[in-house]
Amino acid sequence: MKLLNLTTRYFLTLIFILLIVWCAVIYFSMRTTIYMETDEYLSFRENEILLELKENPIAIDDHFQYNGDFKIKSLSEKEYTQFIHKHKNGEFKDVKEFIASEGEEESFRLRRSVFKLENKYYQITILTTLTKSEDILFTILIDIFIFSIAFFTLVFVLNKLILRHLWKPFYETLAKIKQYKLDTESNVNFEPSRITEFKELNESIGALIQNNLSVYQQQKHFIENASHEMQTPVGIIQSKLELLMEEPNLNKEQALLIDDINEQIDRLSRLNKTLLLLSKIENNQFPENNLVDITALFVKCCDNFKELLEFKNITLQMIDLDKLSVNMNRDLAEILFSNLIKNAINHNHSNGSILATIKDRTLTLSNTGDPISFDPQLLFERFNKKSDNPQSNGLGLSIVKKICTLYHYNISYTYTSPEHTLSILF
Amino acid sequence: MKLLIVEDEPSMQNSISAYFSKSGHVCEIAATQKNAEERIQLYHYDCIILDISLPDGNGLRILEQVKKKKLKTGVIILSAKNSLDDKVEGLTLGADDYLAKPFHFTELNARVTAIVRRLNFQGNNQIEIGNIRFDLEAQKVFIQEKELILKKKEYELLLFFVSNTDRVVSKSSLAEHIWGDNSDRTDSFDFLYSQIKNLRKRLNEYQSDYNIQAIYGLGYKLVQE
Repeated sequence: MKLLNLTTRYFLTLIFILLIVWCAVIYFSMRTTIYMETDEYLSFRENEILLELKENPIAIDDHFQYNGDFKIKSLSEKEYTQFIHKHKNGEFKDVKEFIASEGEEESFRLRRSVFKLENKYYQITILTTLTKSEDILFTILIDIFIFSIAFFTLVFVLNKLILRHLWKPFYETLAKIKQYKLDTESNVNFEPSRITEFKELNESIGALIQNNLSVYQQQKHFIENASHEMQTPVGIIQSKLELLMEEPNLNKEQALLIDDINEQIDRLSRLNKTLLLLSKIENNQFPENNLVDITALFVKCCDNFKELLEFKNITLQMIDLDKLSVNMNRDLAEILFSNLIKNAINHNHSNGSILATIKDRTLTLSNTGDPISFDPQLLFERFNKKSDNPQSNGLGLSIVKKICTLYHYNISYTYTSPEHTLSILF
Repeated sequence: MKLLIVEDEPSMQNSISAYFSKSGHVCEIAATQKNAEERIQLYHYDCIILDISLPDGNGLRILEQVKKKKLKTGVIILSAKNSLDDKVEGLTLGADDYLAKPFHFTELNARVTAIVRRLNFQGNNQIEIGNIRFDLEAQKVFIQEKELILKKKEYELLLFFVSNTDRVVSKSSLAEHIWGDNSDRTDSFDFLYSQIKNLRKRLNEYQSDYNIQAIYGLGYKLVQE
């Protein structure tokens, strides 16, 4: 759920509830006012009539029916007492009466009270119409309702517009962070914002990125520098060992010791060279790009492994080799193919097979072999050395991956028993 | 053969010098660019082993001097940087070869020998050792003038041994010579073992004067029989 929508939703719900409460309050307060006014008018009218009747008692007889707005009825003493007992100050009542001329029922407000004149008991009933007041109330309510809906819509639209405008820097920042990749080593430039929170956010993210970038660069250069510095001592040890090997009087035990040391130094030296190569690819130190005939180079690299393939009794089939030329560094292309082929040979079994195709700008290399016992996601990770082969340094495929990343080639791995397939889309 | 070793690391100077002196070559050492430049003014060398990262400058300037003076001297560049820029620049400036540190002496030896051979016997690309003759142009081997047909890797191995006659050639240096630096080397030793076994058999069959001898587990050596 988007923050904007959520804010709007909360806001509108609140306004809706408020509007209903507001309408109700207005309705009831107006109604009360109208009744108060009406009742006041009725009491005033009653006093007026009673005053008139006192001056002219004979007129009473004329008013036993509704005459104008009131009616007078004579009562027995008992009825009089009962009424007084029940309604000390007279009663007010809402009634509906059918008005023949209008053809519909209308609401009236009724005032009923009793009085005593010349030892006779009477009841007076005064009526006044409520229809007008109700009409006004109704009109007001309709107005309020229309106004509310308009208000509601306005708030909805404005809220959306204003919020969208206010949150724009946030979404811009978000889009930039989403696109940002540390390994491109670019800086992010945020649009300046007047809003303090967003300004702070941008500054914090900028600082964070700057920090990470410098740590990342240090890390990258550390590997390169460390490998560099190790080259010299490793080289010296290796050279001294080779001198030692030349000693004429070596016995078997000494020779085996030297061999062990030599093997380890060799591993260290190769590991170092490979790490250095990885760093150099990462640091983009292979700027010289030429148009490389991928197909020809691939065939040449395969040829280099001819004897090894024969030795391991693995058949290499090349079918559908389309012509493909790509702009890249030739040395890296060679390293890429050598490592791919070597990998297909190493993780094969004897009497296995390798199938290579180049089609639609895609180089596909499938080889038979046991399924890998780990997450294929880790296939290209450095030192993900799950094979028990001590000669493998686990860096071959990470070199492949690095080269592909450098040139934005898409590399994918699939396994459909019994074949592993690596595809590179150039 | 007279060699100039331009290298600032004393330990490395000693090793290279000791290694080449053993086979009767004359080795001189220069630790700085200035010293090296003085030496090439005064003396003639068959080959300069040139480390390009020197305390007082880039070794490539020495290479420029050699080329400017049109000296008949081979130059092999050693670099700890393993940087292809250096390689490309060095070879463009006219270096005969390039080797990344750390390297195997047998590899350096083979390369230096090849450079000096190319300089001295122009046009005649042949190596003769005992009754073995290499035609480097045609990449063919003859024993007693009978052609020994070898596969590509076997040929490369035999040539490497011949360039390092009487030297112990370690298994790792063989593997590196065959496969280069940049690929994983799984199973290489088994493969090498079978290749060398085969080579020995063939050399025996052809009654070669030289054959490959195993030195315990250490490596192999091409020796006269």
